[in-house]
Amino acid sequence: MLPEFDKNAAFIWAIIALGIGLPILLAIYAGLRARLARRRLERLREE
Amino acid sequence: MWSILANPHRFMAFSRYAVPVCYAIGTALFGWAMYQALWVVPSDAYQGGDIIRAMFIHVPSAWLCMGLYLGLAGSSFVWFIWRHELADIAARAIAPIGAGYTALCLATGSIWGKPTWGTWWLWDDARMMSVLVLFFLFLGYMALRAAMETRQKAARAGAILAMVGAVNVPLIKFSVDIWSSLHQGPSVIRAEGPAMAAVYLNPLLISFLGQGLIVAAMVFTLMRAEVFGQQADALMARRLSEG
Repeated sequence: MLPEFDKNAAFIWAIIALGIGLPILLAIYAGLRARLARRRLERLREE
Repeated sequence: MWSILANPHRFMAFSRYAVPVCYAIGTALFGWAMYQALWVVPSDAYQGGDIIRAMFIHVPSAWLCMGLYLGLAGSSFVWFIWRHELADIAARAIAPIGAGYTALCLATGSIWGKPTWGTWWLWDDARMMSVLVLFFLFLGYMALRAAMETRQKAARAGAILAMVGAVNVPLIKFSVDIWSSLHQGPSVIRAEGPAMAAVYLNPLLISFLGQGLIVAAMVFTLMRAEVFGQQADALMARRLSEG
């Protein structure tokens, strides 16, 4: 059910993939950093 | 509101709920804008047919990377004048997200340029070069901070670079008016009002709002990581001093 484009479909899909993929990667990076930092703090508090 | 959130404890309490809310609303708005961009918005014969759909990713990423740099420079200014620790934490959190969104703007612009203008890149295009400089400013900010021995030195050097580099943001905005460029003149943010049909303008603004909320959630998340890290460092330092 994907839309069909008259021309330049590869360019359009490349831009859409980047526009969705890069924010997901950045969100994963931010989430992992926060999780690792919180775990380190919790470990230090437990010791 | 800003003075209330300037307290790290209040910021942590606020951001704990703000992050999932921003992600949820931002994803819903961005998803709606992408649906409009791919299935609803008509192709534009004057602007190269269906490739106009790239606008709903590329233009918001361009606005956001400039906004993020202004956020970086503003946070750096606040730290530089008032030495507020949370402002430095915000600056550090903004930099990698800003670099990511500037890379997204450059990459999507380059891909859009090939079928529209027949070239991936032009070294003498003022808009392209000023955004490339913005990308290097974000990278340079992170590299400069990483090269410093202490947190104070890193904050000071980074703040000076960020504030000086802010001159590049109006250059990006007005580059198409001052110099010749393949880019068209302003069609949304201009004195006479937007020169774009509502069928394009509304999804564009919603895409910007959605991506903006997603970016805010990412920055808050990285700020939380920095606060956790500083608390852990302080705990370690206290233990070492106690023996």
